[in-house]
Amino acid sequence: MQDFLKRDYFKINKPYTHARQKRRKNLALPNIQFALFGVVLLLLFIAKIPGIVPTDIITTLFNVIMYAIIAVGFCMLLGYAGLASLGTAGFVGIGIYSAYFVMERWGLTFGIALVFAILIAIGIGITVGFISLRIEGIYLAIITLGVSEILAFAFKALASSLSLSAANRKLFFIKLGITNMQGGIFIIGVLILVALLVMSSNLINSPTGRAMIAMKNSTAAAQAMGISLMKYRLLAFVISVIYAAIAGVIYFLYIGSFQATDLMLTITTSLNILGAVIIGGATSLWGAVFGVFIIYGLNTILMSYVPFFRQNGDMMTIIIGLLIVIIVMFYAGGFNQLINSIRFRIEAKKSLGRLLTNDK
Amino acid sequence: MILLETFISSIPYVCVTVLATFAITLIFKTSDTANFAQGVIAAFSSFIVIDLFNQAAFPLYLGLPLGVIIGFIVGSFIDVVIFRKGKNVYAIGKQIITMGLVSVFYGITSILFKKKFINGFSFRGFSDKIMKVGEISIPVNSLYCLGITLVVLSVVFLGLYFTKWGLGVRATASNETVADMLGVNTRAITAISWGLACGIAAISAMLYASVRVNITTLFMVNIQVDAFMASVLGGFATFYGPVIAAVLVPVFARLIGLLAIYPRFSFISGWVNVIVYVIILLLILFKPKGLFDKIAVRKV
Repeated sequence: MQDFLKRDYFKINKPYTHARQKRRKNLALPNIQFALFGVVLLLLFIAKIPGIVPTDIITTLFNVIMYAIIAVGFCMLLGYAGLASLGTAGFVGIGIYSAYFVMERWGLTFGIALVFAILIAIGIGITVGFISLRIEGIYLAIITLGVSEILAFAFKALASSLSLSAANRKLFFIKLGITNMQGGIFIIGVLILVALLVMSSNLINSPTGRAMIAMKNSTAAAQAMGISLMKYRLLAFVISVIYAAIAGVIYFLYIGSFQATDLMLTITTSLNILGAVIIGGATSLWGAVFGVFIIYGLNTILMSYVPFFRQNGDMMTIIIGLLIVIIVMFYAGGFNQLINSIRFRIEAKKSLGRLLTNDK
Repeated sequence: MILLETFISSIPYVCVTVLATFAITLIFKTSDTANFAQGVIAAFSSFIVIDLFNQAAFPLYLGLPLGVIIGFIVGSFIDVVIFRKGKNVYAIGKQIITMGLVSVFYGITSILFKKKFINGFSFRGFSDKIMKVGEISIPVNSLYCLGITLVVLSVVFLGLYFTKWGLGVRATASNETVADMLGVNTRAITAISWGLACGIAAISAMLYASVRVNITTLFMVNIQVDAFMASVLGGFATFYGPVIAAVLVPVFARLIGLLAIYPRFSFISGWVNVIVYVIILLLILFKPKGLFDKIAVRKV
């Protein structure tokens, strides 16, 4: 009698065998997923050499990687601390100009450029964050808009045209030609992206991340539990500034030259990153990466290969704006919500199937 | 003498900033959200009017109200359709929607007017004449700007403080839920406020176009940032606070720019805006709620 019951119980609930369970558990770990993503990107890069993947796709891919770094930081700010910032463009500029000054003017290495950019980002992030978050969270967007303008003016006044000369084009003390430098920066970019994804994911699942989620859901309840609003909001904001600065550093080293009047330093960049995070789902890191791919990857591909969009480039701007409005209005979870609801339906069907099939 | 000339040359910019700041304040106080799309909406309305003026010699005394009406329609559309129809749109959601609308209107304006911008798009202004008072020359256009601004501001402020509608606006700005409970039609008031704000912004865009030599899609961005900084400086506790700050900010910027004439300070010329914004941020650091703050006790 007991055996009979046991067999039915097993059939319905279908426990995994040890090997299958271990595989499932490993793949489900976010860190492993990020690492696999990095491996796929590196494989795509290696495929460029024999010509399987065309070079402009690699450039697009690099842009996606760079903007994904910014978007991951912005995702932490918007999705977990609930703050919007319009200063992203200026913060990327911090990275670009730090890289220029450290590597070109002072002739130092890439590592020092990165550290310098991060230190400046921390300084500006704490100053701006402290000033604006003292009032209310909602003021951060307004003040960061002003800060972005300040930084744009300051950059124009500091140096209106930047370029990395051949003498200073070196990574880890090895002088490289342009293509090799781009290749090296691509690999470094992938490694940085994976590392930052892992760090962000771990941060979200830590007590800090839980404090941020609590703060976002109800400031009064969070404060009652002893969570300092200023501390966690400042932390989220500084993290987003740091990520943007890192992306700026690798962007400058990849393209090698930059004009202060470039579109990168205008509000367009900030709005595109916002759009990317909203489209992908504000609380999902993968969503941020996906959103960046939609806005920067798909945009470039559509612009190159579809004649309608090539002639009417502004249509993409309108579509991105409309997507932001519609998603916030009706489908706040973005693409992440879509994937989760599909997954949920599949799981529900599977469980129902298991419940109904009752073969003896 | 040079000081007086500086003040006179700053009149149109003061008018533009004042109107834009008032529009921002109106929306912020009634909807608790910053309208980032205001600049592009204003630019969009003004371009239509300027285009009609350039192509078909559409008279400006009709064009100005037309611009206001276009701005009004767009503004109230945003409130009535977009905000009300959305599910669970909170304050941060509204801000993000306005940010998305910046992209939408930027794209629409580009598509409609890009060819015209490339061929040189400019607005002659209200008048080409220059009035001479003694030794000082005042462009008549500035007087038009000043006159229009004073009329608009007086009408709106008189309305705010002496009419029932104004009382409703101030009640909604103070606490929307309680005002609703007390019978104020907050939905109508919010919709009208949005429309009015965007209409006033359209006027400011047209005034700005009359003094700007080259006009592009993003030509209102500088004014917008000035307006935002001025309104944060003035504080959202009152309606007049940001307006006063909006007068101070452009004048102050011009005075600092004046310093750059002296050879000892000539390096300032590229940094004027940076200095002004940094000073504003420092002032906000010491007075977080703005210069004209009202001390209010919030009960939990």
